[in-house]
Formats: sequence, C-alpha cells, structure tokens
Amino acid sequence: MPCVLASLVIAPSLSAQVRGDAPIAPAATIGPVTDASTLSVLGMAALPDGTGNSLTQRNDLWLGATQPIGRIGRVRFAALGTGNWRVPQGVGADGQLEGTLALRARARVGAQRVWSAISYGHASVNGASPTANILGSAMPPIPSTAPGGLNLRATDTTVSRRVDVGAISRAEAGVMTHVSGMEFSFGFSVERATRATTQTLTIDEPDAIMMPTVSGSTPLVSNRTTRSLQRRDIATGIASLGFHTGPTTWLVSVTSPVATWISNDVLSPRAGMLPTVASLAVVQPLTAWLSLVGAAATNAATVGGTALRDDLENQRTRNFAPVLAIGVRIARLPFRRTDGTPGGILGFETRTLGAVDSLSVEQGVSAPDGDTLRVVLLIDAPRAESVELMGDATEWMVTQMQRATNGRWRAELKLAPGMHRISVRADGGAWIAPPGLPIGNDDYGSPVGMIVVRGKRR
Amino acid sequence: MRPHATTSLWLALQLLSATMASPLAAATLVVTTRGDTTHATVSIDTILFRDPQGQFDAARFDTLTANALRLLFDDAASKGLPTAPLINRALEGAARRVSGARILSVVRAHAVALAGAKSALGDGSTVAELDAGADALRAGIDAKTLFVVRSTRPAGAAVTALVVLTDVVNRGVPISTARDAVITIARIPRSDDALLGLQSTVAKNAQRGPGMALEALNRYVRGTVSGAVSPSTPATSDRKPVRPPDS
Repeated sequence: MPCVLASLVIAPSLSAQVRGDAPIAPAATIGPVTDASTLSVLGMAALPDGTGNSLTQRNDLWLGATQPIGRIGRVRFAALGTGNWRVPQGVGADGQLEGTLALRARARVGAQRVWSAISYGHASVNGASPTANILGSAMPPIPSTAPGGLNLRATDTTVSRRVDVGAISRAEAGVMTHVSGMEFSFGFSVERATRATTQTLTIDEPDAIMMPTVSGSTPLVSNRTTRSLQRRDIATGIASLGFHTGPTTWLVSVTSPVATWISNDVLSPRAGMLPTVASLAVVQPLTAWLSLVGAAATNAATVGGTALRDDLENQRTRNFAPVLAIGVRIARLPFRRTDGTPGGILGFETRTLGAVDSLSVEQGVSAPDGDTLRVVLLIDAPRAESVELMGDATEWMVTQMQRATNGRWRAELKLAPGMHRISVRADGGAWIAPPGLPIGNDDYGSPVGMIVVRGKRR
Repeated sequence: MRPHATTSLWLALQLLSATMASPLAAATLVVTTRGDTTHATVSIDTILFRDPQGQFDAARFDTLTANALRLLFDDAASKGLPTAPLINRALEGAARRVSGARILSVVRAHAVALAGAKSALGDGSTVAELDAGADALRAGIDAKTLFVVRSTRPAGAAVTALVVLTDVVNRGVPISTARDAVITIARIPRSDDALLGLQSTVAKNAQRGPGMALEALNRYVRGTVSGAVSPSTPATSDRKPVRPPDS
C-alpha cells in the first residue's frame, strides 16, 4: 500500500501519478498500490484562504487511468495517464486542458521495494488576459471626463488574448519499506518544464490621438503580439506514509522542492519557488470494485502542470492555499466467472491480481484444548506486492499475509474442525476465492473458498 | 398474544435496544437480572444465552440491522439451529459492505436452508454438516440427495462430500451427474481426499468448458471406482507441486 505525495493525490500532476508504488496521487491509482486497471474521477476545489482573493479559487475535473503492460524479469511495468480540465471561471483563462503519460517500473530488492518512472506532460491554456479581468473587476469605473473638461482616458494596454503551451518531462525514483504495518516511502524527482506564451496586446491610444476617417476621425487602437519562453528545472524530495484502519486506507505525504533553476526571457513573468505541500488522502471502499476517494492539501501548487502557470496562480506563492478533492475510483467491472476470476473484457486482471494459483494447508494439533488446529495457508502470488485474507477464521477482518520464500504468502490460522469460508486478494484488488479450493455460495457478489478441517476423529 | 407474553416480548426488545446501545450496559444487565427472579429474567437470559455475544459484533451493523439479526439468531436458536453459520454470513456481509437489507436477506435464506438441512441430515449432524448442507440446498440440490449423501458417510464425516457436491454443481455440472459422482466416491471408506481430487479435476477442466468438466468428472469417477485412482490420493496431486517448507 504505497503512498505518494499527497499533493499528488490532489493534484493529478505528473509526479502524483508515478510517485512510487503507491501512486497515491493520481486518482487512477489512489489507494493501495496496484497494477490492476483502474479509472478514477475526481472533482477538485480550492478553499478560501482568508485573503479574499478570488484568484486563488479554482475548480478542476480530473481523470486518471492505470493499465499494467507487462514485466521483464522481476520488474513490472505499468502505464499511467491523466487528464485535467480546469473549469472556466472568468479568471485567467477560458479553460485549461492538460494531459500526462507515464511509464512506471517497480521491483522488489530484498525486503524493500523500489520504483522509478518517467513522464511526459502537455498543457495548453487558451484564454483572455487575467490582467484585463482583474482590472475590470477591481478598479472603479473611470469617468470619461473630469471636472474642468480634462480627458482622463489615458493609454490603456490590455492583453486581449493569451495562449500558453507547456511541456513537462520528469524522472523520479524512490524506495518503500514496511515498519510496524505502515508503509514508508522516500523518493526524489527531477522535472523540467518549458512554456511558450503568446500574447496579443491591445493598445488604446490616448483620445488626443485620433485616426482620420472619411466621416471624421476615430480613436487609434493598435494590436501587437509578443512571445516569451520560460524554462524551469526543479528537484523535489518526497516522503509519504500509508496505513490501514480496517478497510480504509490513509495516505499522508509531504513534498518539498529542494532546488529550482529558472531561465526565462525578459518578457516572461518570473516564476516563483513552489511551496512545501502536505496532503492527506483517504480511500474508503464502498463495494468490491468502487471506492470513495477524499483528499486535502495545504496548497494547490501541484495541481495541473507544475511551473506552467506560475504567473497566473497567486496561490503558488502562498504557503497555505487549501484544496479539497473528492471522487471515486473504479477498480474493475463487476463481471466474474463462477470461480471468482474476473471475466469479460477485464479477464487480464487475473494476472494483475497476483496470480493466486495454489494453496496448501498444513494441519497439526497445537492448541491446548486439542480441538483447534493450526492451519497454515500458503498462497503462490509471486507477482503480488501484498496479499490479504479474510474469513470466518478472522471474524471477517482483513488480515495481511506475510511474504514467505519463493513468491509465496503465508498466514497461520487456528481453526476448529469443520467448514470455513475464506477470501483473498492481491495488491488491494478484488476479493476472490483462493483458486484450488472448493467455492462456496456467492452470497454477496464475491466468491469465497471453502476450507474443510477434519478433526482427529477422522 | 397473551398479556404476559406481550410484556415479556416488550421487555426483551427494550433490553435488546439497551444491549445494542452499550455492550457494558448489556453485561450489567446480565449480572443484575440473573440474581433476580422477575418474570423478565427468563427472557433476558434466554436472549443473551442464545445470542453468543462473543461472536456477534453488533458494532459492525447499523442498529436496525443488528436488532433484526439478533431476533433472527434467537429465532434460529429456538428452533435448535446453530447460530454460528448465521453470524458468519452476517459478518461476511458487513465485511463486504453490502446493505443491511441484503445481509438480512442472506441470513434469513441461510436460516431456512439450515432448517432444511437439519431435516434432511438428521438431528445428530454436526454444525459443519448442517452449514454445508444448507449451502448445498441453496445451490439447488434437493433434500433427498442430502439424505443419500448422509447415509454414505459416518456421523460427522459428510462435510467434505457436501462441500464438493456444492462446488461441482456451482461449476456447471448437472445436479444429477454431480450427485451420482459424489455418492459413488463417498461410499468408499476414507475417500475425502478422493472427493477433493474430484473437485480439483472438475475445477481445472471447467475452465475449458462445461463439456470438458463433465468428461473429466466421469473419467475421474471411473478411475476411482476401478482403483486406478486411490481413494486416499491427496487432493493436491492434481495441483501444482508442493514446494519445500519455508526455512
């Protein structure tokens, strides 16, 4: 159950997507680490930060998806994609579209897990000048003439049109480890963002300058187009913590810029340093395939393409500009075969679930009363990062299985002779009946396996 | 309803509500009422006795569902049915986060099936046998088949046969074919492993299609009866090789 940066969680930025095993951030992978196919939809809204500045308000709709693409040796690869659309709100732009693609690799080295990812993102902003809007709403109307007949209409220059096109390239890597049931992740990323801004300036000359026409004269208005370039390289440190309380997953993370190098021409607005961002995400499963995702972050700095809109985002320069996000994550479609394996178009998920393909039971009397048997479950799931089980033996509480050798996972239960129901899942995927066991009646839409423990009489 | 019975029921429901609201209060009630001889004591003790508090974690359910489940458990206990399988189904539903109505529906259906299984398998059957029999009934297997399976196995030893029968039917094998196969093997002494081998064979071949599963079942039964497959063959023989124990 990996975690990534919280900022990532809320901000479906590139980094969020690929941060570690536990792609905490991107909605597509929010929650326990999984290579299973997922689709997430999040709505994000900025909260008032107390300054009364409406420029810090923003609303975004974010989509994310994850798809496993295979493995080479011990390294598993997955593709992640996100799309972000900023709701037009009359400040800064008519709307903004962003998209990122990432290739993530994960592997286990001893007891630790490592990850690495490369990403590319593209952003486009088309809209009217924020400056024009700001002035239009913030300044009182200027009378056309002042007392004494003096004309106060001076030269007025506005940015009537602006187009921003940006690109981000990112590389990151990190390590994850488990301590006392919690998963800690530390990572480092390097990002290069470039932006080309094209602005159309509309200049209203003073009324004194009139353009003669056939019918008389008209005020002189001129348009000019400027183009500016900006590039920023930023190194960021990442630390995150993930844990479970029952079926609920909690993810806490902090991302902090380590260093920033900015180069831009004289016409380009100078970008500021990104603030340190702390975030919290909660993933609450609603059904076997649908989870509710909620998240909050101290700053929206990582929402959208980082470094692409610094001049338009006042909150980027503030340490506290909270953002809330809420949405859902779909882990799979509820189509299954009678043996519990996913069917239909998501049949490939059987591989990503960890290939739970065998189970053995070792019996031996161990309990003092002689009526309870020690049952050791061994499940082959060499591709899984985590395997959990629940059943009547655990009073239907989710229990983590322990990694054993040779890609197996082990759990020891004390069972009385009789019939016991059990379900397992790998990497936070869907609950299935352990293949190889008899299946019981599917009362709740998730098959269970049956373990028959024979008493000493037999 | 007689006034006395009505009063007892009312008191029982009130105490159930108190029990739901506070486990501590419920424990206190037990202590204080057991020492009294009021007419309510019988109802209280009966309810608390029939409702195994140690297994039923009411906190996992909403109040209405928990109260309804308690009444279901009490009703099942009054009919001599085991409550542990019912509590198991309820907890499973809570773990899978389905609605309270769905949980009640499943528990109620299983209670009815338990009663049917008890009738078919006999009063001397173990809880596991009744649970397995109830699963079989809910899978569409008739009570007469349960009775025949019961007659093929010693007391307390029909669980594996019933579980395998239910599994094979759930995998698409016709009930009559599954019944004949399981009964044929179950008549052989100490054939639990052979039954599990049958289940494993059908499970593997069911992935290739219903016809393959049926053919594999018939071939396995013929081999078992003729001695080609030992009744004590470990069920894992048809699975992946067992790896050496962990160091």
